[in-house]
Formats: sequence, C-alpha cells, structure tokens
Amino acid sequence: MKKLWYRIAAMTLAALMLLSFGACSDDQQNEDPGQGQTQGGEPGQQETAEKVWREALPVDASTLNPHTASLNYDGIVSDYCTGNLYREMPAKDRKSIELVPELAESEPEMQDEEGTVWNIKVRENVKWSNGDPINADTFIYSLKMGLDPALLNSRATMIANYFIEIENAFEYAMQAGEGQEAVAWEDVGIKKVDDYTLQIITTVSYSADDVMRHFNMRATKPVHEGLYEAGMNESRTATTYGTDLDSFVSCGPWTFTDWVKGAERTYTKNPDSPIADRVYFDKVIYRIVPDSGTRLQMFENGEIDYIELDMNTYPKYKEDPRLRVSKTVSIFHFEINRVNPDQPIFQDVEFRKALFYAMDRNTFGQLLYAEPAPYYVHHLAYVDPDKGILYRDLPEAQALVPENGGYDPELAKQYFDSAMERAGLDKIKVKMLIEDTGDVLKVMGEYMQQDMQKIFGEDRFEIEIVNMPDQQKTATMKAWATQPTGYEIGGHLFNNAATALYPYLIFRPYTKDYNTYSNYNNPEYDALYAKAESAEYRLDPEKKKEILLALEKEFLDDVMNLPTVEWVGYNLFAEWIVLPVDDFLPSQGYGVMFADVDTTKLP
Amino acid sequence: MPQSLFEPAGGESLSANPFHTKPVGFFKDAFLRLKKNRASVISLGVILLIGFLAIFAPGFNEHGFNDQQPDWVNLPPRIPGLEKLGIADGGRVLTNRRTSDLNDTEKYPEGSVLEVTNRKTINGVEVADVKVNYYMMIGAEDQYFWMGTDYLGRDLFTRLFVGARISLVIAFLSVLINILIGVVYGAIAGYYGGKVDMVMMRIAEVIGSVPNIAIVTMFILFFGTGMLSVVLALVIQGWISAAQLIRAQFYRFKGREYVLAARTLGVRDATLIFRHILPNSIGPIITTAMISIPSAIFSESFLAYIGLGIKAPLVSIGVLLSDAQKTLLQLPYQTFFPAVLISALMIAFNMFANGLRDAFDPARRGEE
Repeated sequence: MKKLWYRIAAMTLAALMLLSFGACSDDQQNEDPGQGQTQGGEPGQQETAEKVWREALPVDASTLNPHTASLNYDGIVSDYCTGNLYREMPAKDRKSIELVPELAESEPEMQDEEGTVWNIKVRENVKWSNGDPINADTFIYSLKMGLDPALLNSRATMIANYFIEIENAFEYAMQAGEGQEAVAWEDVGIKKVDDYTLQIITTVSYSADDVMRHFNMRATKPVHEGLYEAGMNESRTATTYGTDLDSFVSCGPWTFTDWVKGAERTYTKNPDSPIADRVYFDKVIYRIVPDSGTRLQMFENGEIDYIELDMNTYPKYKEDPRLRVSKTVSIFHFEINRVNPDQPIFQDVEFRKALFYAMDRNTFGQLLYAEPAPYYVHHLAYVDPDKGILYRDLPEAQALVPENGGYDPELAKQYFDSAMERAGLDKIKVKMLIEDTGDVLKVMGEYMQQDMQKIFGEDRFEIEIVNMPDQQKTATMKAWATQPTGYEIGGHLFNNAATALYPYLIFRPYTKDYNTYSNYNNPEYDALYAKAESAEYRLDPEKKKEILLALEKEFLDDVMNLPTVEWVGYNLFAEWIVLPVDDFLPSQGYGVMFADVDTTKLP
Repeated sequence: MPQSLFEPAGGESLSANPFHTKPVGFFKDAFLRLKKNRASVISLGVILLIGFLAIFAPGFNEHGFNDQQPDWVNLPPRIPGLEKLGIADGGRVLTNRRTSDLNDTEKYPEGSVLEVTNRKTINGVEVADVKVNYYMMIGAEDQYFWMGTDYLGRDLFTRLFVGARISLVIAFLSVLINILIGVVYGAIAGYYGGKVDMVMMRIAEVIGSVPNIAIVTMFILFFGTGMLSVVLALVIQGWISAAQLIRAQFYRFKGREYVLAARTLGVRDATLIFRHILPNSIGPIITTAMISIPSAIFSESFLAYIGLGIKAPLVSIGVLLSDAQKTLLQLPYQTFFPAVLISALMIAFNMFANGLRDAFDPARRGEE
C-alpha cells in the first residue's frame, strides 16, 4: 500500500514538473512578442521573422485627439495610426524628404492664378479601421471641429494658420473672444466641392508644397465623426474623443490594436493603407518605462531597438559604433516674465541683457554635451532648402552671434549695475522655474545660481530655484496673464521640426496673437513677423534671409528670451534596424517609421 | 495589661538599618538598564559618530559642498592608501571603446589603461571594455575625491555630510515641534476630558484620517519646496500620535491621590498639568521622539526623492539619493554612500529607541 502511495506521489510530482517546464517554455516564448521568432526554416535560409519595432517611452500618450494633442508622445500615436491627406517621408535616395499623397489621391490642384484656391481630391477607397468610409465630409467635419469656437482646441490656431493661412479660419476659431466679430462657418475657406473633393481658400499665395505640408500636420488629421459626437458633452465644449481605444479608430499605416494605459501600446500594420508598401514593421510596440536607467538596461538586453542617450548615458556610449549623433531643432532657453508687477526690472532691456551675458553657455555645453547657443535660430533652419543653404551658415547670421557663447561677465555686471540703479534696488531675488523630470534645466539652473552670484555679487543677486513637475511648470508659465507673480524666468525647450523648412515659425510664439509662454508685446515686432509670413518674403530665399536676420537681430537686441544650448541628439539603434536615411533629416529625424528589420541579424 | 510588661525590642537603640548603596531614581534606573542593552549602546555610538561627522566632516577637505568644477564631473571615488589595494582607486570601465585607439596616448595617457576586457565586434568595428584610471585620463592625477563627484563636479563626501546635517536638523526640528504641539494638545484634552476631550480628539482624528502622502505632497506643492516647508509638512500630522500618547498618560494619572490632594489645596490647572502630571510622561515622550526621528529622516528623503525636498543649493540625503538614482547603473557609487548612511541612521535610531523604550518601561524597573 505504501509503495502505491509513493508511486502516485512520484507520478504526480513528475507530471507537475512536466507541466511547469511546459509553462516555462511558453512563458519564454511569450516574453518577447515578435522579435527573434522565426517561422520554420533552417539557419541560413530565408527567415520569415515578424518585423517588430520596439521602443520604450518615459510617458504614455495623454490623448489621441489631434485637436488637443500637444505632447510629442501624443504625436507618436498620431504618426503611426492616423493618416492625413499627405505624408512626409524620407525619399528613396535616402538623403531627402518627399511629400506623397496618403489619403489624398493626388497633389493639390491650383484653381486660380494666384495660388489661393486649392482643390484636394480624397481617395475613394480609403476607410477607417472599423470599415467606415473616409471622404470630403470627414475632412470638412474634422477641420470644422478643430476650429470650433466653443471647443477652443489648443491646436485651432495651427489649423487656421501654420504652413498656410486659411481664409477666416483664425477669426472663426477666436470669435468667442472679447471684442471679436462673429464669423459664420460658410465664410471660412474650407469648402466641399463634391463627395471626394475638398477646396481650401487661403489669404495669400502659397505653393502646392505649402498646402501639402499643412495637411501633413498632426493638427489637421481627420477625426471619426460618430465617435467625436458620441464623446461630446451637452454644452458642446469638450469631447472625450481619443481618450481610450473605445473612443478612437485608426486610419494610418498601422492600426492601434492594444493599449494598456501607462504600460504598453501595440500597433499592427494596416495592409490597406495607401502607403503600406513604404512601411515594413508588421508590428510596433511601445512600452512605457519612466526610468531612463531601466530603458537603457532594456536596450542592452535587446528588449528594445532604440534609445536616445542623455547627459548621464552618453559618456558610456560615446565611441559605440552604433551611435548616431545629429543636430536637432531644439533650443533650451529661459522664458522671461515681463509682466510680474513685483519685478518691473524685467521690463528693462539692460537687466535682461545682464542675464543674457551672465550665462556661461560654453560650460552648459560641456556639462550637457550640447552646443552653446547665444542665438535662437537652430542649425537645421534652411533659408533655401533647394540649394541646401542653412541660415546659421550665413556670414550675416554668424555676425549676430556674440563671442564666447555670449558669456561676458564684465559687460553683464555693467548692465546689471545700471539697471539696478535705475530701478532703485540694492538686491534682487529671481524665481526660476525648472521641471523635476529632466536634468538639463536643473544642471543649468544650479550652475547659474552660483555663477551669477559670483558675477553680480552674493549680496545683490540671488536665484531661487523652484523645481516642479513639468505639467505644473507649464501651467504656471502659461498662466502669466492671470497669475503674473508666478515666476520671473522659466526653463523651456523649443522643439519644432517644421521650423527647419519654415524657420520664421521660430519667432511666432513671441507675437501678440500666438504667445502662450511668452508675454512679449511689441507691435513693431508683430509687424516684422507678419512680413515674414507673407508670400513675398516666404517664397523668395533672399527676402526670407533678410527677414530672418531682422527677426533674430530684434530678438537678440531686445532679449526676448534667454537662449542657452542647442540640443544634440545621441541615438543608439540596434544592429538589426535598417534606417531609410543615411543621416539625420530635419522634420524626419532618422525616419524610424519607414525603417526595416534585417532579420538575419536578429539575436 | 500593665506597661511594665512591655520592653523595647532590639536592645539599646531603635533605628532602621542604614542603606549601603546610593538611592536609584527613575532616570538613573533607566540609564543603568539602557547601558546593559548592547545594541542600544552601539546604536548610540553610531548616531554620535554620524552626528560628529555631520558637524565636522565637511571641514575635512578643502572642497565646499557647492564648489562646482565642470572639468571634474562624475569622478569615481579615490582614497589615498586604499587605491593601492584596488579599492576606491579612481578606476572606471568605459564600454565599447575602439581597440584601435588604445595606443593613442592623447586619449589614453600612458599608464591610464588598467584592463581591457570583453572584446567584440559591433557593426564591423572591434571594440572592448576598457578599465582606466579616470583621474589620470582627464589630467586630475593629483586630486582625491573620497566619494567621487557629482554632475557639477561637486565633492560628494562634503555634500553627503552637509546633507546628513540638514536631514538631521529637519528631523530633530520637526520632531521637537511635533512633541511640543502634541504635549500641549494631549495634556489639555486628557486633563479636562469630557466634551473638550471629545472635540479635540475628533479634530485630531479628522486631520489624521487624510492619507499622509497626499496631504504632505499637496502642502509642499502649494507652499513650495524648501526647508521650512518640509519641516511644516512633517508636522501637519506628525503631532497627532504624541498628543494621543500624552492624553492617555493624563487619563492614567489625573485621578491619582497626589493630584486630587494638590487640587484640593487649590493648585492651579496649569501647575497641575505641567508640574505634577506631565513629568510622569517624560519616558514615553523621549521614546516617541526617538522613534519619530528616523521616520522623519525617511519622510524628508522620500519627499526629496520625488522632487519635493529642499531647494538647491542646499542638499540632504534624500536629494543626493534622488539625483543619484538617475545614474544608478552608470555611477553606482553616487547612490551607494548616501544609501549606506541613511540605512545606518535609520537602523541606529530605531535600535536606540527600542532600548530607550525598554529602559523607561516601569514594569521592568529594577530588572537586572
């Protein structure tokens, strides 16, 4: 009897072990979906592994609604899963960018001689991922909602006027504001010609490329009418569209198939996309990993295919053959609050100049592995893209850049003493806002805190660093109109890929109509900027150069903000990723969306 | 019975036997028992040592806690003497370095390469992990940073003990305020009892029922970061446990005969509270304070860790840990030293507080 029990026990144990081994092997297979799995075949034969892009991001998307999405992380979903009329992508020569029709059938057709009326034909066979058709009504509805005066979407001004200025669109969107006149939708330059043709009327002359770029933007992407309306509140002032997968449908090269909020997003290739033959990943997986150290560890373990290095991780990989170093369109700077009633000295240009010349940008660059930037137009801004002429390479633009990275302690002290005397102040305490998520502003802030005290005198100058979450910092800075005492200078990153080809947009946030962070208010500057947006100055490279020089000179002379460093991109790609470009391209970066996987190199 | 039948007991003199030992009071008894608790004595030694270092260690070298040296950022620890044993020798492993550059003396000065390992080929380029004497490599051979430097080239040894000083000041200050508020609040509630007690203790319970992290975080977000904010944040709810303890002590003692007698003689309430009843609570108060200190240090570190600590340029152990955790994998020493210090502080205070609790326990009075 005892032996029988032993046998039963031994058999049970063996069965359990077998089961657990089985479970283990299943787990191991499931650990890494896609990557590295081959479907049959001997080594050396043609592999049929699923091509998967795996990346880790620090934060998840906050919304999928193109009218309100403002974070770069929101844009990633939009790029992959929502199509637009046109799509910008790396050209097949691997060196340039091309604009191709995506949901549009062809390039926009000019309907008048001036280039102010454009017809865009929508493809007749394109659909949302749930099978609903996409046509001219889809775009009319999307643009109307994007500009809706009651919804007051954050991206309304971009829809109205970015690469092109649509007739009466800005006025329509802003009509609810004080002193604004009512504008009917019928007066806005967005019309339906037929079920598949859309007409756009602009205020001034534009090129077909301008129109295509405008309808390549995230803000002008379509929304699904049924879901948008279903999410609308009673007063029609907000919609829940795109807050989760139930309130969103895809129409891009990939379909958003799975979303575990704050953890993982999965996109699956859409074979019906008009540009399906230009994309290669069968699946795209984004994992949300807030800690940069963990992301790095994941890259080293082969769990993700790409990582962007920062000042802490770059030194370790500075000679790694996989490293790609690129210039970027990002300038770190400190915004200046001129309307703080407790600190009127910030209205004094000499005080602002004192701060400008007291910034040791060379040391910032050394500490952050970035480029010292006593200027505001980045190195990827083109004055003539056809000839490859960059603004920063122009001798006139170089002449605007002060020596020694704009660091001149003696001059700074002179300006400081003069401004303090005029203001009747013996000592000043400057409240500096920085965010607690990044190191860049923290490093610069702490260095300035000590260095500026040395320059201006410990008994006369003090910086109080206020470290807060990014969203709180942004809200505090944007609330300058209602809470003007919130700060004096606030760290900020300017980062806009569109400014490579449209560099004048760099200066737009300092105009009265478009200032959000900045409270700079100068009608002469506004007039200068209006010139830059006009067709006369936009389309002629010589005039474009002339107006950019004038804008940057005005910017630096009046110290509209305090530029510090131009960011340098340090990127590591896994060995098996085949990029579609030879080098970094403005507005496309490394064209990751259009990259491929060399399955023979998979580990 | 006639008196003559009685005679005095004990012969000629009638007197009590004299004591041959000195009388042992409450505190002396507690001290004697504490002395016998070896763990508490060692813990006290650790606390005193860290306290000594917090006061004097920043003066042990020439570096100020905020002296920034951009040429010497993130240097590894280097300690004279120990470096010869291969410990804290200023060595650093540089990964995936091109092997073709190893003989380039401009990049790797002579003698700076200590070890080459893990040779491999990436994208057709031969690379290896190279352990170098980092101080020699960057031309800082004559420098010694005992615990290395941080992202602005600041000496981490000095910063660690200045940080410990600030963490201890925050902890002691917040505990002192908590005890003061708790004693007054608890004494009034306990002494008067009845409706006064009911209202006061319900108010305390309402304040105490809000999750601590939420209330502290919101407090600091509203009032801003800084030393005073952190101290006040630790006080918002911190006084409640002290108040409850004191109230219980007052309920225990306020009905005793000596208190009733004093009251009958017309002694004022304040005198009764602070002179006659409160001294009985000294033991529990000291014990509570000691137990609260490590949790205050931990709370300060936690707040600093989530970015709600004191403002730069001041530093605390929590700020150091918060900064260091971002580079845990690349520069582990930046986390190691503050982590060891805060662990030592927490353990020492907790063990010392345990010893004090046993020493002040009336039930164990006179115990050998």
